[in-house]
Parts: sequence; C-alpha cells; structure tokens
Amino acid sequence: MTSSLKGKILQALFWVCVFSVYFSSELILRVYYIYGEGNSKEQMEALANKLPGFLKDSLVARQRMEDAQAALEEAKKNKDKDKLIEAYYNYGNEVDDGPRYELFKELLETYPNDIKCSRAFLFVMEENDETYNLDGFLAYIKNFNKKEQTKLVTQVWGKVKKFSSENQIKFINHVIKEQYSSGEMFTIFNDMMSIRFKLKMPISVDKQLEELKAKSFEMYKRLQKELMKQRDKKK
Amino acid sequence: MFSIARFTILKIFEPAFMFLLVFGFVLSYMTSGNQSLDLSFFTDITNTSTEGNLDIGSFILLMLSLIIAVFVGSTEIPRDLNTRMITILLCKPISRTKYVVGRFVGTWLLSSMLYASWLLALGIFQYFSMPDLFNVKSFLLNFLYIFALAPVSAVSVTVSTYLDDVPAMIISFILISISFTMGSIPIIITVIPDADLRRLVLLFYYLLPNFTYLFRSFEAFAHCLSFITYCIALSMMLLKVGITHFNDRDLC
Repeated sequence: MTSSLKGKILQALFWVCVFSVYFSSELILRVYYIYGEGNSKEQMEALANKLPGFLKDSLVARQRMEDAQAALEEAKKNKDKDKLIEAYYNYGNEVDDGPRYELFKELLETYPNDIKCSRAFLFVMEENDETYNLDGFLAYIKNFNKKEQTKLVTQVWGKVKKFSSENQIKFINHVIKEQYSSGEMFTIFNDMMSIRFKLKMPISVDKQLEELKAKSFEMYKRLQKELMKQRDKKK
Repeated sequence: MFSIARFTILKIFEPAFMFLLVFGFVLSYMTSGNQSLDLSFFTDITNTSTEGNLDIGSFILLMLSLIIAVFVGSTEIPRDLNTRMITILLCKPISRTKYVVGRFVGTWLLSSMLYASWLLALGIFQYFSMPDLFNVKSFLLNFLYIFALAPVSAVSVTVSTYLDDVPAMIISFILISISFTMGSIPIIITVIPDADLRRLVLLFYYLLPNFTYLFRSFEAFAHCLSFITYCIALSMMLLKVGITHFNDRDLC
C-alpha cells in the first residue's frame, strides 16, 4: 500500500470519527435540551429511540434492570409479601442466570413454603445442588395441594428429563405413586413411556403410565371442549 | 501553524485590544451583582427550566468575546490577502491548511484569553461583593463556554476564506444570529409527523451550529462532555470547509 493511499484512508477514518462524535454529542445535547437535566425516564427513552438497534436494546435493558432493582429495594423496605415476590421475579428477569440464581435462592430462603415462589424453585433446582435437588423438590411440593403439585410436576419434567437415570426413575415412580394426572401431563406420559425401556424399568410401569395417560387424555379432551365452548360463546 | 496563531494572539497587546480588556474588567465590576439570567427568550418553547449557569455578567462577557471572535476571525485572512502578507507567510514552509488552522487557533485563543480573564475578574468581584452567594461550581462551569467560542471562530475564519473582510463579518454575524434561533428546531423535529420532512429539517439543522445549547445548565458530566465534543467536532467540520476552499482558491 502506498503512503499516499494510507494517508487518504487515515484521513477518511479521522473524518468518520469526527462526524460520529459530532452526531452523537449533538444527539445528547438535543435530548438534554428537550427533556431537561437528570436521568428521567422520558429522557432515556427519547435517547434510546434515536440510537441504533444494538445500542438501544442495551440501554433499554440497563434502564429496565435499574428500575427493577430500585423496585426490589423499595419492596424490601415495605415488607409486603406479594409485592416483594413480584419485585424479585421482575428483577430476576432482567439479570443474567448467575445473579438470578442467587436472587431466587434468597427469595426461597425468605418464603420457603409459598406457592408463588415455586417458579424460583424450578429455576434454581439442579441435580447436584445440596438443597434444591430432586429430593428437595419432592419434599417441597408436599407443602401444596394435589392440583398445585400436579402443575409443578408438569413444569419440572423438562428439567428432570436431563437428570441421571436414577433420578428419572425416582421421579417417574413418584408420579405413579401419587397418581398425578392432568390435561397438560398427557404429552409427559408419552415421554415417560418412550424412555421407560432405556431406564430399564419393569413393564408394569408401562401399564401404569398408560392408565395415567388415558386419564390425562380424557382431561385434555374435556379441557379442549371447554375451550371451544368458551370460544363459541365469545363469537 | 503556532507561529501563525501567535501573530493573532499578539494582537492582545494592540491598543484597541488593551482598551477592550480594560472595558471588559469594568463591565465585570458593573455586572458582578450575581443575578441569575432569565434566558427564556431563547428557550421558552421547551417545558423545562431554561435558566443556565450564565448570570448577566458572564453572559455579557461571553457575547463580547463572541463579537471579538467574529471580528478577528473574519478580518485576519482577508487582510493578509489584501496586503499580500499571505505571499510572505506561505513562502515559509507552511501549508495553506496550517495557515487557516493557525488563524483559527489564534482567533479562538485570543477570544478565550479575553473571556477567561474577564470571567476571572468577574468571579473576584462577585466573591468580594457577596461571598455568601458565590457559587464556585457555577463559576468554574462558566469556563466551559470557552469551547463555545471555537465554532464561532471557525464560522468566521471559514467565511473569511470566501469573502473580503466586511462581507465576511456581516455574513458571519448573520450565520451566528441564525444559530441562536436554532433552539426551536429540535422541538419542531419531534412534532413533524412526516419522516422525510423531518430528515430535511434535520439536514438544515445540522448545517448550522446550535448556540441555544449554550443556555443550559451543565449538571451532568455527560452533558459537559457532549458540549465540549460538540463544539470541537463542529469547529473541525466548519474549518474543513474553509480549508478545502482556501487550498483551491487563487490567492493573487
């Protein structure tokens, strides 16, 4: 590359930088001018709307996270249980998995037996965790009624599927023992039946799962009929 | 480049500038009442507080420095051309670009030196007349307006590369006066429904500096930094126009 060409490229880059600085500083000044001083929401939104997509998303996310954090701090002071749980979830949605894990653990320690905290339990639950493992989950759901237990069992299956065979067997046996069934569990029983052979469970399990599946399917059909009725009523 | 700037800066020792310096000190003393300035006549279309850092004293001193910047900036190059001084200056190993930049730096530094010394005097007078009301932060922030003199100097120097001294001065004053009314454009842009029209207005807006930005208080660091970078980048862009023309023009 000749030195004159290099010089021209450097000059062009220099002017690109000057223009970028000009436009960005002008934008900030304009926003300050229109919306005034301070970090008002309106000001940040106005600034965010004018930024390129990738910058806008990160700015909006940061603002949302700060708002959620402030709301959590406020809720901690007020000690209103429902608001506090809601604030934990809102803040948890805005942060990464690591901090969310700590946050939800903190929530579960504050309210260990509240059904509203079950989403947090499902998130922190891991196969090798000392407290929030499968055994912990099975003990945890005992605090709730059968309907709530069924719902939680349905929700946790996605996680348990990835656990070791031993834990999967334990879970399936628990489901059979407690005779959980619901419209939503219909597909889960399909899953369980498909892995039963791999898990080397006795054939009798297949029969029991088939019965629960049939029961769930009936519930599923009833659910669909109700939904259709509701839709017709709306029409 | 700096020797060219030095030529302009040394003007401060000329009798007219010494008189202006003393005049500025007298003005500083007279306006040291520390009254805050209502600048709503520039910015009353916004719904936010319009009171900036400037009090009456610093506002008048800034305006005076601004007039000096326009006066010096628009006369230096045409005078060098008329007196053929330019041929002597460009005989030295100085490029035309460096010459124009030197004139700009000189104009900016000269007006900044005058403004800074007046402001310092104003601060001293204010402190001694009302020490309880003296706000150090506000006083120091007023020095930021030195950067506002850069685009004014750049406009004047750029216009003077096209025109003779008197027309250059008139056009510079007109351009700078229009720049003081640009404050309404950001508001207009937000309410224009048609995107194409908005872009067109924005294009016109970008062609001129917006001096309404001067009349805001600088509370946030980001605001101060943006103000400085805005002034410097705008000056560079304006100066580039002048340099490009000056490099192409016939100097005889």
